[in-house]
Amino acid sequence: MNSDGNPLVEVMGLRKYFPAQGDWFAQMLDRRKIKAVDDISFSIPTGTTLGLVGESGSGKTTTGRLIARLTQPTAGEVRYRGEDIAPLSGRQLKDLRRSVQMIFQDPSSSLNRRKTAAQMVKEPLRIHELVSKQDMESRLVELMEMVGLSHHFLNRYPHEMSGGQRQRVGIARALAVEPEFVICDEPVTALDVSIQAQILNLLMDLQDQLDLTYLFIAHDLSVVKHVSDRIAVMYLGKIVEVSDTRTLFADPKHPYTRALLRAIPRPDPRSGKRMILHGEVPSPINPPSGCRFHPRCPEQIGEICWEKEPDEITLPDGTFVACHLYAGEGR
Amino acid sequence: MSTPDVAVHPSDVITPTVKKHRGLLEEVWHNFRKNRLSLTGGVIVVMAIIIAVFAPLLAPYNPVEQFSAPLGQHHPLPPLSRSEEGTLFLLGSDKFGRDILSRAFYGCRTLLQLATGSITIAFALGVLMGGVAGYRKGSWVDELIMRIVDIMLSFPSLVLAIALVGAFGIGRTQIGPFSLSNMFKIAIVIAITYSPAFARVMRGVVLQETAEDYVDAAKMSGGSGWQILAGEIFVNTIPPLIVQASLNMATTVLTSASLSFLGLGLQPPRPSLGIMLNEARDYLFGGAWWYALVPGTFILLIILGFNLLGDGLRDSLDPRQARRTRL
Amino acid sequence: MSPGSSATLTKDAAAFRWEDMVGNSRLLDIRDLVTRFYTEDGVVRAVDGNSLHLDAGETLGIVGESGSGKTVTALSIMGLIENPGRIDSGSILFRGEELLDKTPQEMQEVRGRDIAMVFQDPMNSLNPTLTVGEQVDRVLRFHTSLAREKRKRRIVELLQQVEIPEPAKRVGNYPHQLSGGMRQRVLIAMAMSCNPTVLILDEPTTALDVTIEAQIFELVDKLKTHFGMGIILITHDLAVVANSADRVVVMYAGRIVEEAPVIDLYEDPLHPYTRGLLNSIPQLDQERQERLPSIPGEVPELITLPEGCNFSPRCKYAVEKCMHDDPPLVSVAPGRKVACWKVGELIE
Repeated sequence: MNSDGNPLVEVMGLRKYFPAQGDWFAQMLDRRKIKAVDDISFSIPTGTTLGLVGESGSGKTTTGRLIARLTQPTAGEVRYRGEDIAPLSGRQLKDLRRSVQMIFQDPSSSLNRRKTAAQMVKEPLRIHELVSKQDMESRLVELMEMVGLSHHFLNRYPHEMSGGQRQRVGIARALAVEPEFVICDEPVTALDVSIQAQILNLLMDLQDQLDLTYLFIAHDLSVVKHVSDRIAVMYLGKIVEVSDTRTLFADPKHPYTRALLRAIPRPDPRSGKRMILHGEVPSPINPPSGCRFHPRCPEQIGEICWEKEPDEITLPDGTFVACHLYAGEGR
Repeated sequence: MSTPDVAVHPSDVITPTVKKHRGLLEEVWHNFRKNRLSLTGGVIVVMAIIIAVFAPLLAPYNPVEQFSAPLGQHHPLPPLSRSEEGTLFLLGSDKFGRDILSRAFYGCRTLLQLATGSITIAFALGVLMGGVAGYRKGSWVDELIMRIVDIMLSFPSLVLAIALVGAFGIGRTQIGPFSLSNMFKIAIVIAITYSPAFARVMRGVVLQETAEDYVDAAKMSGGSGWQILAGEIFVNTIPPLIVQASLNMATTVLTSASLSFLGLGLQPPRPSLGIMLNEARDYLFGGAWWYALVPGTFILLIILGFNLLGDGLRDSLDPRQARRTRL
Repeated sequence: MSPGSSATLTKDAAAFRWEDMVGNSRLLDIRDLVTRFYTEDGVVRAVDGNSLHLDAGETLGIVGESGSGKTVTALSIMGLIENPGRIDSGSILFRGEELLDKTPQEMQEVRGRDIAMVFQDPMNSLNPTLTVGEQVDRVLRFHTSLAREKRKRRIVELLQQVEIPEPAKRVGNYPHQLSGGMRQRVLIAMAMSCNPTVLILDEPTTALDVTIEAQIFELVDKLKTHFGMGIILITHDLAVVANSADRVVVMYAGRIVEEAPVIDLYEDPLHPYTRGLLNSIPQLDQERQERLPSIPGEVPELITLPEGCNFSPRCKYAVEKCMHDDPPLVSVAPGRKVACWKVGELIE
């Protein structure tokens, strides 16, 4: 995998707030917001995979959707190849859709149950006018084989396929337009364990063959470890740590990352008792003051933890971390 | 477009292991067949349609032709009696000497024409309104459309229909180059009355479907709003809409008959079941029981048929029945 | 728990039962259970002649993917199999009593009081229109004859037992006011309300975050030790089972393919499926690999099971015999059973 160093995707000061209430009237009375994503910044160099990890309420899915431009930011920017994607519309937006694609989590929901695989994979080809009528059939077969499905699947409906097969169709659809950047939103979470490895292998093979850049969103650190070059850890709308994969696991910096690693069960009965992280994940409507993690943090150092939000610090080994523990160690 | 060098080993390519299931249509038909009531409904509706379509062939006599009563008797004559001219009134004659059976057949025809026409227009209007409102949930468009729908729904449908007829007037009207027949105007009136129901259903389904990922996937494929609504979402809205249409046929029939009964619908001498009922009012207790019973029964059966059919369709389209046991 | 002693559900009662159980430690003894679903599309052989047992104080893990039949096994024990499903044959002994001979009314008594189950998906297992207190109350009203005041206290006690903070306040909460972890605790509280002997947990943490999941398992472990229950843990998550179970049973397509004490299973898996599964999970403490070893193919549908060994189409060790004859589950060592013709001959 080559990396020319120029970030393909850049996220700067990104925020996404949702109104806490459903309709406009209630919104007038209750102006509180769900701060799903609250000022995050990171970049993804071409040809690499950035893993985005977090539990529920962390904002990782919303981040994925913001980068996919399925929703617009409340503040901040998403840049693709240096260009802000927020103001794009019409022709330009359509062009963006050729470069940026998404693989969804739930293979039952991401396929239209009344359409065959052929119809679904054909759609992006048709909309972007990429293939002539004569070549369509062969292109569809080619795409199916690329994801490991025989052409027999072309005229099957989703309910005539297993979960893993449906996910492959979703991947074929995403790759039909030959994108450069693919956002994988929990692509194996909804699949059976014995199929997960197959799909992960497929995604990695395709990245090599087609020179893709991935944003890999997941809640399972062991899966993310396997596919990512760098990993960003999110908690309650904020990024708490970004580091390359090896360093993150060998030397996690942020207390949340450390707690997460300790809480994950190992498939090894002799791995000893897990460290329990107490408390519930707080609500994104009313996040804790100062550092969001402070109520559950086993390594609090004092008042500063609940008074001031920690700055993002770059450590000598290249890790970004947002924690008062490291104030003064980096820039 | 360069084809990437993909190494595909034949053993790597998966062939289908899951059984091919019945198609949607077969599945629906299969479920439908099992239900006795819905089959009955279906049979009734089919018979009504046959009568309506082939009325000119099936009706023994001209519905507006008046026959003379035999000496000493006067119309309305009871069933199985004969006129002076020898016509056999299988179901009796009306007060003008017309054959009730023939009039009933033709009445059935006009009723179904009206109902079908108005349902089609209501469907189109409702789907459009509901689709736009649902896809643009939360926007002012959504609010505007749904408040209009709410206003319309707050009127009892018959009252609304009467008001609209009052506004449009009875009889043929001329609007610029268009000459609208009375029947067409009534169809529009009824369509307007029932389109809110379709709009509601459509919006509900659209809301459900937009929550699914395939809609997002369609956006990622580059589709525009209209492309997605028409190309992806619509096909999923058809089952509940068909159920709604079938159930609404029943109420549409009732409304048309009611309008005719009140004299606000189709005008005589056009054969209409509603008008027949109106004429029969004087004879309800006067002995000519067949005069009201025949049109009344026809209306009853048609409405019953559509209701049963609609219920049956709803049950057989129910995805819960089609779903397999989760293990 | 006999009806007469239902009035005193205190910790004394729990201690009493532990003693009572020491002399009679096999809680569940299931032999050759066959549960099938007779659908229009064919016969679904969900549980195909399986035997397993559960002793007091142990956690039995049942591991399998979707379509393995693990949930149906639990439902069979609970007597919750309904048309078009049927328990066709076999025996389920609960403390020596044959459950399959009981009438539906008798099973209703057993359910909740003696054997309790916490279902998958805590988000949808609670009634959204009733408060937490009301739902726990219903269980108590059905199985005990406690007076209202006593029930109220018992409910708070139960919520406290599952470590819900401010239990007295929570009694009046509706499910949607609680987080996923809290809801799961409420479900456990409901299951524990009559001090059951056997607790079945069906995918108890699939919908929960890993940090919450750890808390829940710690809680369940405490309860098990304190009350001397036997626990059946159903899951697809091999890591969860490794950390919480004493013994493990691996199911594939309706049959048990391997049974072993937990350490043995992970150290030395014998069945090709178990091996393949363990090899294919990306592990946290492993070095990153180029390709994850994966099991080819798909899980078969229970309606169209292959001839011979159900796993043979995907098995890299399969030979002729495997495709025609179904291997029986045999004992290969104390506490270890495998259903494979090639056991002992597998080479990496």
